[in-house]
Amino acid sequence: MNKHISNFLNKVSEQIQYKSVLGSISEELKSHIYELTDGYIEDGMSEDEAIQKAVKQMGNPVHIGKELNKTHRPKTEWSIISLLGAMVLIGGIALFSIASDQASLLNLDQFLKSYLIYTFIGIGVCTACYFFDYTKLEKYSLFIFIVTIAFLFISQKSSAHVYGVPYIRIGGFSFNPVSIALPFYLISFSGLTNKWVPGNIMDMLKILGLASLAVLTLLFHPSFSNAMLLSGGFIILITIAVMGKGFVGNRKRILTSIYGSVTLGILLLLLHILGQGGYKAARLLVFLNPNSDPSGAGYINFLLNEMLSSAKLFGKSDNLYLTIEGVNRIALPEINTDFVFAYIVSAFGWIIGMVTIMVITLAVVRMFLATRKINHLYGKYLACSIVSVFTLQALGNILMNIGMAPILGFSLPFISYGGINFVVNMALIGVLLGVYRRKDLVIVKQGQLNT
Amino acid sequence: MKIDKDLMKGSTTMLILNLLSNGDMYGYQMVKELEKRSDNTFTLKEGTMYPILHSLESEGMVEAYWDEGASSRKRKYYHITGKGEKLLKEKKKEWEIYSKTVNKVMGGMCFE
Repeated sequence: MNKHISNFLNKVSEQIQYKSVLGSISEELKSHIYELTDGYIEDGMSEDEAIQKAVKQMGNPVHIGKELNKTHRPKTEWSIISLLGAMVLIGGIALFSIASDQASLLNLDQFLKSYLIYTFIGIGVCTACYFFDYTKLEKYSLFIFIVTIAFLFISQKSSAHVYGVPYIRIGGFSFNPVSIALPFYLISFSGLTNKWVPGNIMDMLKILGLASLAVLTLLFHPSFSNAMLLSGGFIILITIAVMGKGFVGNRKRILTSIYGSVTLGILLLLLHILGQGGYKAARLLVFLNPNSDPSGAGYINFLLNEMLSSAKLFGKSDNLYLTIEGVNRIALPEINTDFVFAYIVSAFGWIIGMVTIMVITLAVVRMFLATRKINHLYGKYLACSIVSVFTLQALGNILMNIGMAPILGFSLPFISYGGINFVVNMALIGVLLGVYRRKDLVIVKQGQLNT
Repeated sequence: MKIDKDLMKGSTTMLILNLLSNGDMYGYQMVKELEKRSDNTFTLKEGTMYPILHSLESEGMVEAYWDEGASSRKRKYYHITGKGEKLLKEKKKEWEIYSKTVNKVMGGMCFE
């Protein structure tokens, strides 16, 4: 390359912080300089003269670089990060308050230690995902998706079962394989959506088939709540892709048939569970009337109702404790995980409960607004799937806590004490922030850049 | 005729969007086309145009893609989006009101 041109491009590049966009910017400016040069040569200049004039015509490289940097510098969504921090803090305070309460029968030291360890790991994983270039994953989408299906299938068959749910144990950590599978499903499904949804009916059938298979692996695991989360995320993602402008085909017909079959599937599943009768069916319906079976299937719903109905605006509810066999204890079991919201409301009052809901809502809104600014399609799908799952999880948990949904094991993201779930959620938010950071990636449609 | 710099800068976005509303173009082509249409009154400086194009792209007003076209040279083409069309409409309206008012204040002079 001519030294005048390379000199010019270097000066522009020096001003730009985000090095991944340099290739495409240099290519664009270089091509402009060549066009100018060609024009000047036609006007009768020598090549050297023409190049010098062309470079001069481009303007001040430092100024151009600075202006371009304003657009291309990596963007960090500080509002999402601070809301995330607020949620982790609320969770920490709740956990501390629970574990330091004698009536929780929990070991404070042990819980504080693992809270700190998981927070530390979570921040590490989140940071790693933030800096990882997610675009590298897209081409492995199908592979990741199928491996995840296989992983769940094998883990279901071969790992140790605790209360009928398979657990994997590595070192001192034991976890439900479903928690690990969920993010991989989301990431790879975003790639599949980008690849197959805009296309023809055959591709659409392929993606729907794979999606159903994935949901089935979770249902059989069994993890009803995660199956619901995943299908919710899948449906939202497919809807966004079908409504997108790249879609060819009859939007209405496709969406109606997808929604129709999903509704049918849910109805069949419900009928199946209710038809079987027994404990599962009773647990599913008891939230409609928490007092109907207070010592059986409705035990938790009954306690939740008792705790929340006597909660105050500020301070402790009278029904937070319950004396069982002479021991005074916090009424609900597992209060630090799935029912942490009920604890916050009954131990600190409704005002703090509302603040918690507001922080979550703000996070959802900020995350949703962030997805709208992402230009890269795969990144957009990825971010949307993460926001959907986060929102559904939070919504499911709050509804369950205030007695408006069956007890299905949704945890409150970042607030529930959740070990591996916490780390997984942190990873997903890291990916989301990383997508936002690279939101202006240029889509190269033809050829490769030779830089 | 030389046009005042500030006056030019504010309207560059509108001119760029307007050029793109007639079809996809690459940077060099836009500079040439604008010169041609304004009888060389407007010279769109490269150093002004690219930052504006890139920020329009980041805001989703235009989309870009690489194409080799007829020549073997790689070019980055810009395409106006629906959002961009809307912005152009607004800018045009703003401009109309502005120029009408200026004309009125100037005493009904017409420069056309």
